[in-house]
Amino acid sequence: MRCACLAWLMLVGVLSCPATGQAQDRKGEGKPAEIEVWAIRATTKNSDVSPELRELADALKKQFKYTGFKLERKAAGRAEMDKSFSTGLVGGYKATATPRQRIDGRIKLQIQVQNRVSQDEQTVLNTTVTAEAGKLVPLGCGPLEGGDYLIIAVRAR
Amino acid sequence: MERKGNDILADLDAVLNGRLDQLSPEQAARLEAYLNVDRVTAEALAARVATVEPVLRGGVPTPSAVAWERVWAGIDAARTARLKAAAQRRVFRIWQPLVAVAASVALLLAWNFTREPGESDWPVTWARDVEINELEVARGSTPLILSGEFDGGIPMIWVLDGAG
Repeated sequence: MRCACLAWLMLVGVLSCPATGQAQDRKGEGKPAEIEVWAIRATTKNSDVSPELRELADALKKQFKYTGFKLERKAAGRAEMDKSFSTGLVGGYKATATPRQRIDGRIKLQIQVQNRVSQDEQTVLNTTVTAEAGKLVPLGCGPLEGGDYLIIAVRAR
Repeated sequence: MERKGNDILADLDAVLNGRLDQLSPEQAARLEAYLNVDRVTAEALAARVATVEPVLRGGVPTPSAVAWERVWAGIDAARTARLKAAAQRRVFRIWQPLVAVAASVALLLAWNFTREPGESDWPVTWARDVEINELEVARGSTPLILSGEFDGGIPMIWVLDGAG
C-alpha cells in the first residue's frame, strides 16, 4: 500500500512539474496560450530602471537617448489560438495580442497597438512575429506625454 | 538370588499400589528387564487395572456456574477488543492512502488554479530570435527594425512618428 501511495505521489509530482506542462504545450498545438503584455515608459528625465528591464535598458541605452525605463503595467491572460487578448496600456494606448500558431517551441503572435485620439482609435502598429515561446518581444509604439515614449513587451507560451 | 526376587516383588508391589514415585530409575529399569523375561507376570500385570496414585485421588472442585460465566465473559471481552483493534487498523490502512491521494489532488488543483501567467515560473527572458511575418504602421509613421545582432542587443521594432 505504501508503494502505491508513493507511486501516486510521484505521478502527481511529475504531472505538476512545470517542465512537463511546457512539454505538453509544445505538443498541444491547440492549447490556449498564456500571454503577457508589459507597458514600459521610456524617459530622459531620470535613469531609474525597473528590475525586470535591466537587460533591455542596457541594450537600448547604447542606441537611444532614453535613460529611464519603468514597467508601468503588466497584464496577463489566456487566449485560444486565433482568439484575442486585449488590455489597456498607458496614455490611451491599447494592445491586442492574438496567438496564431505554435511551431516547434516557437509561437506566432499578432500584436496590434491602438491609440485613442479624440473619439477615434488609431492603429499605431499591426505586426505578426514569431518568437521563442515565453520570451519577451519589445516593440516601440509611440510618444507619451512629456516627451516620454511607450515601449511594450509581449510574450506568449 | 532370593534377595533379588524380593526386590522384584517389592517393585511390583509398589506398581500395583500406585506408588510409582517410590521407584528409583534403577528399580524401574530392573523391573522392566524382569517383565521382559517373565511374560506371564508381564501379561498379568497388564491385565490389572492400574491403581490411581494417591496424589491424584483427591477430588478437584468443579468450577461454579458463576466462575464459568466470568471466564466466558473474559474471553468474549478479549475477542471483542481484538476485533475492534483489527477494525481500527483496517480503517487506518484505508484512510492513510485516501488522505495521501486527497492531499495530492488538492496540491495538483491548487497548482493549476492558483497559477497565473507571469508568476515566478515565467522568468524574464528577452527574445533574441524574432521573425517578423507582417508589419504595418499608421500612416505618417515609419517602422524601424533593429536586429540587435551587431551589438549583441535585443531585436526590436520601433514606430517612429512623423517627427522622428
